[in-house]
Amino acid sequence: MLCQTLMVYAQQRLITLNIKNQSMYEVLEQIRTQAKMDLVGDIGLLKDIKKIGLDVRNRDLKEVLAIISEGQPFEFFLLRNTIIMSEKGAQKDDKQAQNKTSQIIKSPKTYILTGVLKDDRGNYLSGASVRFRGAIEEVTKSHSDGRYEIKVDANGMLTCSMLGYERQTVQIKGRKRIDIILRGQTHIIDEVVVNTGYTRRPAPSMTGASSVITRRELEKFNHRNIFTIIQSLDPALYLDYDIVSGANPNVIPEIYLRGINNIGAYSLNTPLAILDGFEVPLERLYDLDINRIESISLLKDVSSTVLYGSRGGNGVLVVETRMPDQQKASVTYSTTAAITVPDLRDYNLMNAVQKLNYEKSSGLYDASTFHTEPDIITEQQVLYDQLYNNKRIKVLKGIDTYWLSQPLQTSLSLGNSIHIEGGSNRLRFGLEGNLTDLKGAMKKSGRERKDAALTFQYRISEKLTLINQTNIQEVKSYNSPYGAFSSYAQMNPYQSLYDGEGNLIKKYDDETLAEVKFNPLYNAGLAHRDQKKNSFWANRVLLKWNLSEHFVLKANAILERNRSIDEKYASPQHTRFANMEADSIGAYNYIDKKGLWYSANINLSYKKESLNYKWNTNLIGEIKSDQYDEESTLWKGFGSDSTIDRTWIDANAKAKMRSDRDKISRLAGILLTGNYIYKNKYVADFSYRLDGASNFGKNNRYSHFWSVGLGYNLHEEAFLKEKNVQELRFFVNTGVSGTEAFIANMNSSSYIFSPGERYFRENVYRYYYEGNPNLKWPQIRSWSFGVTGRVWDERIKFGLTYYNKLTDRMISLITVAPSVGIPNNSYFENMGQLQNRGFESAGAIRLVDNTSKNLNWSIGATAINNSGKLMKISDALDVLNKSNLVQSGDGTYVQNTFYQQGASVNNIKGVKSLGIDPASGKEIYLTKEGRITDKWDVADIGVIGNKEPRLFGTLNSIFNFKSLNVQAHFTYTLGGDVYNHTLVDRIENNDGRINTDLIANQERWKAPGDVVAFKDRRIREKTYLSSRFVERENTLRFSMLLVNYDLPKEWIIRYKLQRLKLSFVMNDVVRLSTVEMERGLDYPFAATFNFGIMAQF
Amino acid sequence: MKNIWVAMLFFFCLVNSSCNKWLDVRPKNEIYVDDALKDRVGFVKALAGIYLQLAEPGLYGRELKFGMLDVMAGYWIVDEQHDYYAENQFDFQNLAFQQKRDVIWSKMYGAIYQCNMMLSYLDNIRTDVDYNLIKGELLGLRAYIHLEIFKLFGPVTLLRGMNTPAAPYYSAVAKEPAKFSTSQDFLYKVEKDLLEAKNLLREDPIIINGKINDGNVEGQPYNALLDRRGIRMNYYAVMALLVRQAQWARDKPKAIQYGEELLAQLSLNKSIRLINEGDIILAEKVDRRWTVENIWGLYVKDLRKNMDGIFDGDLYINTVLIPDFTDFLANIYTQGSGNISDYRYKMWGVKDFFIKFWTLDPNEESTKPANAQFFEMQMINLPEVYLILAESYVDRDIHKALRYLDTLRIHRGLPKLIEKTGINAFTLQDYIMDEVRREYIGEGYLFTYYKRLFHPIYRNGYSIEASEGVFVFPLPIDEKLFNPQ
Repeated sequence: MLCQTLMVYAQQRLITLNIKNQSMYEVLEQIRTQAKMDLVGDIGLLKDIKKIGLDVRNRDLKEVLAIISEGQPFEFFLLRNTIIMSEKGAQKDDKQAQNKTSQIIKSPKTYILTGVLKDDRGNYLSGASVRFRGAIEEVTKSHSDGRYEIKVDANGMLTCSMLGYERQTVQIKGRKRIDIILRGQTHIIDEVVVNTGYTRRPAPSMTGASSVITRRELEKFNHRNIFTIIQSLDPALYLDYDIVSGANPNVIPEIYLRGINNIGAYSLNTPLAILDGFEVPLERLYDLDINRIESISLLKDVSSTVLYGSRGGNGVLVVETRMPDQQKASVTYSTTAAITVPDLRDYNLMNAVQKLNYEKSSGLYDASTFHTEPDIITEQQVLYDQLYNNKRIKVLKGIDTYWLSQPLQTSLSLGNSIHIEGGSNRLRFGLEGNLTDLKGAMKKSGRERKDAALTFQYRISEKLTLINQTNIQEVKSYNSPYGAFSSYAQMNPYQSLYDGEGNLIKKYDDETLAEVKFNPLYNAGLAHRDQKKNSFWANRVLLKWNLSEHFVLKANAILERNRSIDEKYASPQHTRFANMEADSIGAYNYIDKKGLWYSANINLSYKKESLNYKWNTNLIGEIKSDQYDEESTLWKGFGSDSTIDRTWIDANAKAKMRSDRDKISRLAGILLTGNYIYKNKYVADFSYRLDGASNFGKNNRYSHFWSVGLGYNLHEEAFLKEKNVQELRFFVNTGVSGTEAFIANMNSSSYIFSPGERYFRENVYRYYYEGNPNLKWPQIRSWSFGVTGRVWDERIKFGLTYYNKLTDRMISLITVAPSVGIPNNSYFENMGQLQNRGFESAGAIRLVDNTSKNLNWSIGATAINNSGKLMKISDALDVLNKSNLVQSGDGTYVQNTFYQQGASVNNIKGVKSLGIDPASGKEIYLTKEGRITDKWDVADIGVIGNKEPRLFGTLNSIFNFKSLNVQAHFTYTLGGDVYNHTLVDRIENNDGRINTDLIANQERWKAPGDVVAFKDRRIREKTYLSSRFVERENTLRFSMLLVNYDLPKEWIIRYKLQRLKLSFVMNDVVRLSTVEMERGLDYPFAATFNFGIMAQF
Repeated sequence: MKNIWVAMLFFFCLVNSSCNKWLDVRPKNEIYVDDALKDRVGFVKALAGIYLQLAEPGLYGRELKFGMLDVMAGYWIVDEQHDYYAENQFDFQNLAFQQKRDVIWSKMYGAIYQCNMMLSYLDNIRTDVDYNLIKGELLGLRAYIHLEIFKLFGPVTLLRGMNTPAAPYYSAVAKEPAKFSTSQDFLYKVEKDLLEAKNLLREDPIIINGKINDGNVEGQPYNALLDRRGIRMNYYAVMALLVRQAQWARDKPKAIQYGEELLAQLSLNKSIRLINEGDIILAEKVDRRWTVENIWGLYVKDLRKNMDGIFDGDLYINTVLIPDFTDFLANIYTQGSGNISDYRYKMWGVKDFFIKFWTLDPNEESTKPANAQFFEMQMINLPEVYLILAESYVDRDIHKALRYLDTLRIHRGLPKLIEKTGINAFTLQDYIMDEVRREYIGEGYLFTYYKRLFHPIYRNGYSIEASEGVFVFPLPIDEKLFNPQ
């Protein structure tokens, strides 16, 4: 019955066409589109067909098909909603001329098979394609209730497929009913679409390396740090967690892709962040609600990063937010609870008894350590003995304070997001809201995010669509009043927190070192504010106009106002003001920054497709303007600690310093891209961009960027078609891109003027900034090639990319001798060349794939190597080395980069050490000339280690059983060097007065003949940068464990729920390293446990 | 389809032509040097910026005057608690000293850089009527500042001769640091700049208008170059600097030549003269520093603020500077060559509260010409010319030397020395030093005076032995690092 209805329906389809000189393939495509039917047949038949013309009006489909097949070597017949094309000769040979189908129907072996198609969550699948292959061939689609019926014979095979689901093939074996469950694809998606921010392109048409993360994957992570997620899926995005900031939620780790491209102060190496087509600060992505993200594309090769011309050289992160995509209204609510537990496993501090013994053995209580004259030694020893006994009494009393735990907490953070979508066919809307309060491991530190977005999608006509999105956000990041964590690690455990009356002790009079003299907890109790409030309002409009079949015009514009208020208040009672004049104590800094930016682009795209080729080109024009005004006020000297009130402080502060800044920078660019695909096999790609920027003065305002790329889809070749190869793709590309220098007007020297400033009666210009008119745009020339593949029913996947990048004319701030006389003794200069090359490889294998039990398990690994090398060192870099010789408070030199030709820029500097001389207990160095000496000299500083790991990457395991998904992600690094600051700062340069790690008790030189790693404890000279502390590090981090469970539909349907997902995520639970070193100095590292629920109504 | 391409092409052309304009943005509070130094107005404002920079507390607003330099010269009581204790002890390793030293070095050279930069843009105003005036001021300033650097950081030429490296001399803008010139070469360059400046300033309005008058004509736009020449580098200042330069170059004939030429010219211009008894009126708003004697005085609007806690603060705080009078300054002002009739002794409060720098509240319309004198900081004054002439004549014509010294003494209310018996070259040299010690309290002059003569620094009850470790400021660390010699 149903079958007949369909036939009738098909017969009634009317076609209107007016075609002049088009290929048969195009004509068929148009017929197929109008008839809304499938077209099946051997396309090879159309190969040698000449172009045709046709003019029909409201003619029946059958007739039209007859017209166009007249005189051609093929003919058509209809089966349900499929047009079948077959060779005429074959028909003619077969005498039973009616048609093939009717004959098959009559065949006694065939029967109608029925069944139901569902997905792994229990949803019925409509529109899935069901194909039968046996003695006959049949194709059908499932109905809206998931039902299908198809003519089969008993010995064939049934294949079900649907986009986004894994294909399934079953043997019929005479069954009459087969229900099939299609499993949603997790990591394998047939049609990966890369969003470049300007265009969306299927991966096979790309000629460079890129990776895409879809919402389906993101959902499982249920984690708030977008960068951690990306890193777990593609470690090419390298997160440099510094040992200082630990797990501070208000510090975004340094991020880079494929190494460091620029060096020196103010250099910019972070990838460009693009949100819905527009550049945003990286922090914006950090604060973005993960639930709002539709996809993340990571663009790595110049063939796609060149689209951003002067800005794309460090790689591009393209994030696309969700558009309301369902006509049906739905409400999705998700909530997460995260428990953050401080991780102190890197700390192994002494207890009170151990510490006092350590002090004693360090000679702190021997007058001879500090004095040389015998008389004075005897005289002073009494005092030292007294000091020792006092402390000993404290120890004997049982005082043993565990300082480390004082500023820490195990915190619970809650996050809620809601997503509502609905509307009609023409007007759809999406409303999103998010509220997250992220609490840190240190008490009273955290980050509070609130945001809301409203999106309208309005189809004005068939050809014109308008999208408007309004987004508001407020992020409040607040830092702990407890100060730096390191100050607790230094405190001596024999000091108690409270005095006899239970009051916090402010000052320990028996301590001589300022670092441990004051109780940091006392400061924590004072009035405090260290917070930043960031807010913005943005509106984006996108107009998409399908001008014709080939042309599409898109106009995209955004306007944003943002504001940040940064406040830092230090109470006048704070111990850092101890011993200071009454009128200079207390400090309050208030920075108010207001910004306005707008950006717009127009994209005209042209698309032409034929049977053999696809041609795609885009012409894009873009402008961007970014400006801000900043007022910074610092008040000092307000003796009393009232409430933190700006008016009060303003009226009472002794000193007030106000400074204003403003910046405006603009950019304009034109971009032309072209992409040609021949027979799906050969891909050619080119892009050209012209950028102009206000930052590069008049002389060098414009710069050109370009790339070309080639791709070869080997899997499309006939000889591989029959093999089990789903994808085998080669690509190569080369080009020039740039990195944006973010200082406005580096080229122009300037005066600054403020109205009140006068010399007698004349207003003054003050010399403010030294520009460099000869500064040129930095360039990154790169090339790369790679291969990606999927074989054995996609059971094995692999990818390998090799790249080589050369940064030329890096821009860096150069320090000059102060006698030159330029402001701040510095200016910007192009300098040196830097090369980065390496490879990225990834592989995954599905170990278990049991369709019937809905069980699969796959494991994957990635391995990346990058080696950066300074190619040409300019004089400027030499100067930079000198300015990098920064001394810290105690006179030792700070470990920062040393630039040396042929060496990595990720290096460790110092003087080559030969170890501790067993005869004298002094450290022995090797000078640059190769002499052996016990004198440490700045001039002998060179590169002594390379922080860049030889290999780093991820390991993962993904397990699915029905709707349970369990993933484990590890990251590893192999072979990087570290400078073990714990050994230097806490052991060698600690004369015993601050608390330290137990390893400080290690063997140190005592008497001639001792062969040890640490110098004589009695040598009071500081230890400077030395290769003795460089260690090779291998790490393995269990970065994430994810457990996701979608409750079966039949369980939840009675609660009117469409979907209910439970998740559990565990972060950073285990970290193994070959180097023992204290990490998380100012803020400890932490492990987090997330529990999440997502419900969709 | 073609239409679309044409439309797009047109659109992009339109965009492109207006693009340049759109990309050419200017920050609000800044003005590019290329735009600023297009006409006289910009030059005058930028020049004002240099003067204002010199008037900062780190330079002539405090440290190079009564602050650091006079602490070193030993005028004030500075105990161990005092903020200036490190300077008092010549502890050059101390951070407080190093910070002040770094500011002096970089701000002074910064001012030189600005002079050189403006000189390089001078062609923009080649036809301007004030071209010579501007160029003359710039060259004069460049010479003055260099000479000051030489005095502080240069070698003790008495020991080392004139051929040891002194400091870099910048005659043009450069981003490469200059090699250190020898003292000889350095001072030659100072002289050369001054001579050129002198030539350019030969029609300086100060010659006709005097040093405090406003030469602007009613109805014309205000031109600061014509107003109050005494607070700008002027013709007479350049001539006086030539005298100072010759003294430091140890070229006495030249010092005499330049000095007497200046005195002859100033005798025609009454606006710069030594004070008389009539100028000493104990009134409320009296000019205690006798700015009429200043050949060039820097206008320091913030002078009162810069003295905050120094001359008017609580007696016991760590910043206050009190003349070390008892058993020390008392001797010089009231005994020997001194006398209680000395106007300076009477007027400056050397006994207890030092009131030489007493100023008006800056709110009292500091830019009013009548009040401006209260904010004028002496950069070079007439007594110095007399003192240099006296010194230069000591070993060639002692009577002339005495006459010059006595001229100054008369104008200070002191008896003439010429009546004294037994004056020889040595004693006269001492009398000159006595006069310098009395005259320049608070002016940052004495320390380098001692240095030039490699003379011990007198303190209360002791003296600091003359040594290079005391007299030669060590170079900033950055300078050593980035400009190795």
